[in-house]
Amino acid sequence: MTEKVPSTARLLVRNFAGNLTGMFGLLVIFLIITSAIFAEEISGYNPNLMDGMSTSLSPSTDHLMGTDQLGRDVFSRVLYGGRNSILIGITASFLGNLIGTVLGAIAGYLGGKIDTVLIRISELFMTFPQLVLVLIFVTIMGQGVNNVIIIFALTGWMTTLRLVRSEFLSLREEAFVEADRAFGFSKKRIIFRHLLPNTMSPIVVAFTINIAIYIIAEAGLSFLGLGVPVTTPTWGNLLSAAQAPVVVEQYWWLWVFPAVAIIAFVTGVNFVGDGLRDVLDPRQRTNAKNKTFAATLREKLFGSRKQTIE
Amino acid sequence: MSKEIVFTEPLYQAKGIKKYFPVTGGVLRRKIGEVKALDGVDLDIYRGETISIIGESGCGKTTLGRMLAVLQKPTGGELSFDFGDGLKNVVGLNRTEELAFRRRVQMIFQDPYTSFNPRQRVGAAIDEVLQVHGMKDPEERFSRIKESCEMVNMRVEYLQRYPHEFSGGQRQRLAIARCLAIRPELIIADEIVSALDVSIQAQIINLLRQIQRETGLSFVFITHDVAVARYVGHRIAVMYLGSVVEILPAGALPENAEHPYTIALLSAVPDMNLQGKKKEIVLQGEVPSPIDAPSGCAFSTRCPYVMDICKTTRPVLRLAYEADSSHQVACHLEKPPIGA
Repeated sequence: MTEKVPSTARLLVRNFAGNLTGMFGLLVIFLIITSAIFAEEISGYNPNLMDGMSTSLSPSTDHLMGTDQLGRDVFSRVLYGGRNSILIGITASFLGNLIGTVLGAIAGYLGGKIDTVLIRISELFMTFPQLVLVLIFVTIMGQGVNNVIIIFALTGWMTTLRLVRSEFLSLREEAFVEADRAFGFSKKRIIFRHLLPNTMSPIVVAFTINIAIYIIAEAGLSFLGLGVPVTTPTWGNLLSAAQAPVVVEQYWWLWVFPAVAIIAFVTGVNFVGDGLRDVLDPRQRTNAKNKTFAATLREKLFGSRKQTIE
Repeated sequence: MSKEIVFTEPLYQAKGIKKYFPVTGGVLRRKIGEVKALDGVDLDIYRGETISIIGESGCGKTTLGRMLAVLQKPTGGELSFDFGDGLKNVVGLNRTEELAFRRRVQMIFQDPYTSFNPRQRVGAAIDEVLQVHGMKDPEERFSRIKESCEMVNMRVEYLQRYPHEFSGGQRQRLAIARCLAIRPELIIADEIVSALDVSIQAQIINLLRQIQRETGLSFVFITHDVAVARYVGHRIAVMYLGSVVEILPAGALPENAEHPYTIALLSAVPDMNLQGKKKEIVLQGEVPSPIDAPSGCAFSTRCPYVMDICKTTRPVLRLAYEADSSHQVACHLEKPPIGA
């Protein structure tokens, strides 16, 4: 009992460091984000600079991923595109989660009529196919990075609401909530200072997974020409070049590289999400097999290491 | 008990408290009945006394505790508290008044394992209570926390730990300290020892008695353990099926009791003194369901002395026959069943 017990955050870091797939995902994400941030320094080309002398070149040492029909460097476009795609994914996921968390907390804690109304609204949104909903919003609001972010946030808060609501429904029966009320704590304080921190782990997991979903959604939308205007490079816009059969057949570098970037980032994010779920909440461990595999691999690589948590 | 308790002006008064929970059924979730958890409870709590509330499972003692702490609103009846200038209603107060009330009336809960936020250090939890109640000076808060920890024999250094690092007994002491920190006038303790080992129970109970003696604050001690109730309380309120059937001095023997249920309850406690144990009521049957409780006296279905009036008219609390003012009973019998 006298031994100093590490804080939750430190436990989290320590346990996550032991999660092989999670760490791998983190590494991939880190590499992609860093290269997107330092796009200017890394690529050496302006992504929008058209060079009439070098159109449709296949990958070479000059142009690592080749050039497109307008002579723009694909590598730099993938890097800059990553900036926008990741920005859309993270911001939309954050905003959507924020809406879902706040509404879910209110619905779950207060219950009654407010709960019924919020749940019904979320069901209304969910019964609509999301793509149709997105198309409607795009038509109303027009294209653009900001609009896409807002649209994703507006159409993607329902699962978080249900998640947070159900957590709150069980948490509000705990004696400490009752005690808080007996001490005269305000509802706001109970919801946001006491209950929300206890709901953080599923929210964090939902946040990471949603990033992946939105990046793919952006790609799909831009592929259809409904997402971000073509003048702004995103992974989805780069992919939409593959709409022409001739590109698919002859200019493979135009679509393979952005596709690989998307797959790598999304896989990385999902790995991190799964890792966080394992570390944050042992009850929700869905993939026990994967876990034991990671554990055995870790043992083989680093020798058996006892994890002292308690 | 150092100070004499004055049984004239109550600190807290419950009058005809009712709590009905709707029972819904069918596809349309229509109301098909009511659980009468509390059906007209009268209770006066005086300054400086500990009143124990006993009764079997489901008799409404926990619901009564929650009513007194105004964690739920009663379906009917009045709750009034003496803020220093006479009794004042406490249900449906505005925010400022509510805080003033909650500062004076505190509650400790049964389960010590969930009564602290698992992600908050216990010291911060106590501190937060003081902050909510408007203590701005950190030094002052710290000295207050230190003082309340000393009262429950808890080392101040332990306060930076998380709740899961404590045992059940320690946590219950911390819960007491958290209540004491804001210096309440009344603490409602709901089955606070029933989740603990017997040895720890004794420790907590003695601690409560000591705190009561030193501070002179009032306690409502809810328990199902008759021995504990008698040891801790000055008075005992006996509950049966949602109503208080008798309030008697803690030292009273089964022979002094005037309600048949109280006699049965008190005489059911195992006693070392076999000679002294003469008359005893052994109850037959089961407690009726609170959904369709008897219309007259709640106990009328099992009472060995039942009369016609018992089945139709509900008895109210009145002074007992051989009574000082602290002994009240709700019974139609014209003389005590097995008195002297």
